[in-house]
Amino acid sequence: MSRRIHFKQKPALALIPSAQAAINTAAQSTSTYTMLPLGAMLLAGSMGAMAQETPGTAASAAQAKTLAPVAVTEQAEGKDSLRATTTSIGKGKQELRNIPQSITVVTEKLINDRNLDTLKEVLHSTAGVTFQAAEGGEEDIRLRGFSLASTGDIFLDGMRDPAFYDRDTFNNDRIELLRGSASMLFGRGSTGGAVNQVSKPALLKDETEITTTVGNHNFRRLTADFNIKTADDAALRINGMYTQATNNGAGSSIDKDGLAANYRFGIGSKDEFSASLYSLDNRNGMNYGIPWIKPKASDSQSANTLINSLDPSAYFGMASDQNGGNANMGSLAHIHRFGVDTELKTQIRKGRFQRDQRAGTVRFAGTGVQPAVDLGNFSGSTVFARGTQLKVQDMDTLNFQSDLSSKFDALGVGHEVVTGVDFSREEKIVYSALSVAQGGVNLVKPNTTAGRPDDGASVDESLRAFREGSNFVAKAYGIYAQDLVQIAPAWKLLGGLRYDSMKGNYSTYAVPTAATTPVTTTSYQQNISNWSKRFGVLYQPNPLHSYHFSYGTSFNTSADTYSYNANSANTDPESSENIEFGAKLDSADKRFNTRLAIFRSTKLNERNTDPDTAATRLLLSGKRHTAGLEIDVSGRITDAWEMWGSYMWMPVARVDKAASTATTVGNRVGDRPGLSPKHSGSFWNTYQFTPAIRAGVGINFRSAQSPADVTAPAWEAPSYATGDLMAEYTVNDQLSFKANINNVTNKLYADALYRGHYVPGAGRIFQLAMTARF
Amino acid sequence: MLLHIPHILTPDEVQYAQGLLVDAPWTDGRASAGSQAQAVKNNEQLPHDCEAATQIRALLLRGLDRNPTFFSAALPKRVFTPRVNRYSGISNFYGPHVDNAVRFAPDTGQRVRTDISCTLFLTEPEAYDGGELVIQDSAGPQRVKLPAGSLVLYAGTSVHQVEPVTRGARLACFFWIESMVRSQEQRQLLFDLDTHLLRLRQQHGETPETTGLTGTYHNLLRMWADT
Repeated sequence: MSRRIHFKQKPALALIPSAQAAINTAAQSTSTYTMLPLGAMLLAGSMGAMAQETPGTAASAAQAKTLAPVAVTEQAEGKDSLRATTTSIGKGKQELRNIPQSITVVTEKLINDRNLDTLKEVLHSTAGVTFQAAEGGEEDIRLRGFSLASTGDIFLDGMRDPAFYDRDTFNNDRIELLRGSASMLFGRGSTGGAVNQVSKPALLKDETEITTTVGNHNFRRLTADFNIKTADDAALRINGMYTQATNNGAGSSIDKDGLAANYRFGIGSKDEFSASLYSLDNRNGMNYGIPWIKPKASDSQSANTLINSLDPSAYFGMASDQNGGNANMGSLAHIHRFGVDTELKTQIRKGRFQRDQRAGTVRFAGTGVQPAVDLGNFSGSTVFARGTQLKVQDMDTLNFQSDLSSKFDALGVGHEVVTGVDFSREEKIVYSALSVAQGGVNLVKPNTTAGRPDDGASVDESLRAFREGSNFVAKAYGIYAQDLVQIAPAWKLLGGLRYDSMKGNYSTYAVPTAATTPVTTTSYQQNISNWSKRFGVLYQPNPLHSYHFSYGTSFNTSADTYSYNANSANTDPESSENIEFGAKLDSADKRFNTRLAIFRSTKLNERNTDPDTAATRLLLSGKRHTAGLEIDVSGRITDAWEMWGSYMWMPVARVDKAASTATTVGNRVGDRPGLSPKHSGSFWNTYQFTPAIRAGVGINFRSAQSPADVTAPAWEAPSYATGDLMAEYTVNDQLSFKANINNVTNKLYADALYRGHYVPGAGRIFQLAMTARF
Repeated sequence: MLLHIPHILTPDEVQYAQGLLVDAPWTDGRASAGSQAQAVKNNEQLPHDCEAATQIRALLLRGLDRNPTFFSAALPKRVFTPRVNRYSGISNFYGPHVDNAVRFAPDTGQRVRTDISCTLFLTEPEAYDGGELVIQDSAGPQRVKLPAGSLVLYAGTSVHQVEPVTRGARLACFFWIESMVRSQEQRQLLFDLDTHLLRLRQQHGETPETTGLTGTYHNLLRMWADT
């Protein structure tokens, strides 16, 4: 008998002595193939055929003998697959098929395959998302045509993540988009939906992955991912990132670094703890925007279009312009498992964010310098003037959240209950630059010409003097409960209710224009309490198909902008509702799934200015809605062909009611709101030609769309489609090379739109990455 | 019958299987248990169609293919899809139970009578505390804890349990066999005869006596087997 056999207690095995002897000799005899037991001679070599294997699994079992082993596991899907089956967006981990709402999940594999380094690039590669080039230069993201309220609906691991930094994907396991009203889950906001970033968790394995990327525009990026198993049930994961480039393809330089660490212990046990630190420091430049141009100076502004002769990467801002910002967060989490089906997850996060943006509009110099500019006379000598737009602000957040999820049977039916409470404190301080009269400086930025991009001119931004301009503090809490009831074998009912309370305090500090003192302080307060609902029906006739109907509400307050005025502080929240019919359909082998939804999102009572100037509050008389169809596909069509796609057709976007004073396009009755293209989407597919070679091709597209809030008549940015290519060569498990060309044709298109300007999307980007794993 | 068969998987294969299971999509094991077992079952299982389960199954079936002792002892006719389970943390035991007599494979529609139960250990015994497979044999409770890659084969009729795992995780693959020889006693006699006959053949070579006894083995098998 082998020495390795381990007996816990004697007698351990009632082995038949003679049989054991025979085993030993049989083991010897197999090595020489001389003698076999009779039973073995009768039967050997046929186990696979005897086992209950489905054709698909039998085939893959056969392949396992010839192909190099590929470890594909569902939990690590993000790194290994374009498809995802679970999400944490609905509070607690849930199967996607059990959430009666449209969700698009962008996995780490897709993020890596397509070279998506920032959250904006990820969102750009999904359907239904558009960007407003807001005055602040922030990413005002629109989903289904509704603003995510200056990114107030962006979440990190289920907790609100403020708008104050350009997010990098180096620590993202996946990005989840929940479309439609979702205040039941997230509290205020989320008319169009919510975006959740999921951080990379420490896993119980030792693995290191280091990727070095170089590209055009002097692009250099280094990311390192260390996963260290420190004990049987504990692990540490550290992710680091450093990126530099002279141009991101759309006129902005890149200079940033980040570090994230997660330590978990008690993984999978009754009490699991997690501690995380995150730090990102951006010293990027920015392209504030390029002015729209008319074909002929005498044309109406409805003919406005892009300056097609400019390269997308052309930059006309100052060398001293910057889009600095940093984020520092510390989080603690604890999961207590009462049993297999009940767990309590508690998280607390403290965050500090700083934004220091000093950039400016680029505009055609006035008629004192040159005749009115149009496409006919536009040339390399056309003069651009450069303005000043500053945004210096700090944000301080504290979030606490505790969610209890449980599965149980009661009253003869199965329940899946999720309930919880959350508290938050957000403080935002906005700094204003002093004018010369107030003791500041007036930095004059020189003009440049269209023929001289990157002229290198700079001003000394450090001379500006800032003082606190306003202070906003919001304290909020929410309490919610949701139950998913299995009412019949194929039917589930979902009901959820949430109560939110928020107290907002806002003070502005006005400095007289001609002196430094005294400062006038004006304060506003607002107290909000509101209910949000969600209701859904799920029909799941088999494990492959799930159909849903859902109704959800959400609300957003005038505090979304982190400021109040005399009227807005007195105004109740806006509310919205989302109705959706949808289906999630898996292929028979569950490797491929399709998600379809027909939706209607309505903002029921939009804020408007009262024509009666004596009003003490805004009117809530507006109404608008969007309706359309969404289709997502993801997974493997064959073993070698993997695909991901997201498409939205939104034929309906309409303002239903408006204030009599509404004049701008997209706000009058019957208008189609800006930034709501009829068609938008993205597709990506890869093919594994040989075990070593994989190639991918993709497309991003948007149909024509108008900027928001334009004085009539409006114009449209042309529709566009850009193509992406990827080729990957895997030397072995330890080393691989990947080349990406994004926007292959160097297409110039307006990615972010504003009434005064557009920000082009990145032109052709070529990058080569080397990944080492050990 | 309670039989231990070492080295079904090589150390490399064991390591590969363990790697597959690091982040596998474990689900609650109660989903696959009968109503009596549900009350006592508290472990985790892999969905039978997930990639990790498929690959481990392929490894196991290959391991069985090259093991003559297994065939001689089990005389298998059908094998119910091998499954993978984990006992750790708070999902750490499976109380005393008897396996369902007949298993129905929904994908093929085939029924398998569970004459023989098999457990292949995938974790080294040093890596966890507890987790003994306790089988109520005619000779009293037998406590089994084997090296990774080893298999235990026992009568499906016996009451058995997995004791709580108090440290680490116990990974194992388990499956059932419908044998060509339904009777446990007959199967045991055939195995005894086969193993003794093999020793005779190895000691003395093929003789008229071994040829005669080989005939007896085949005739008994012909009498008892149902193919």
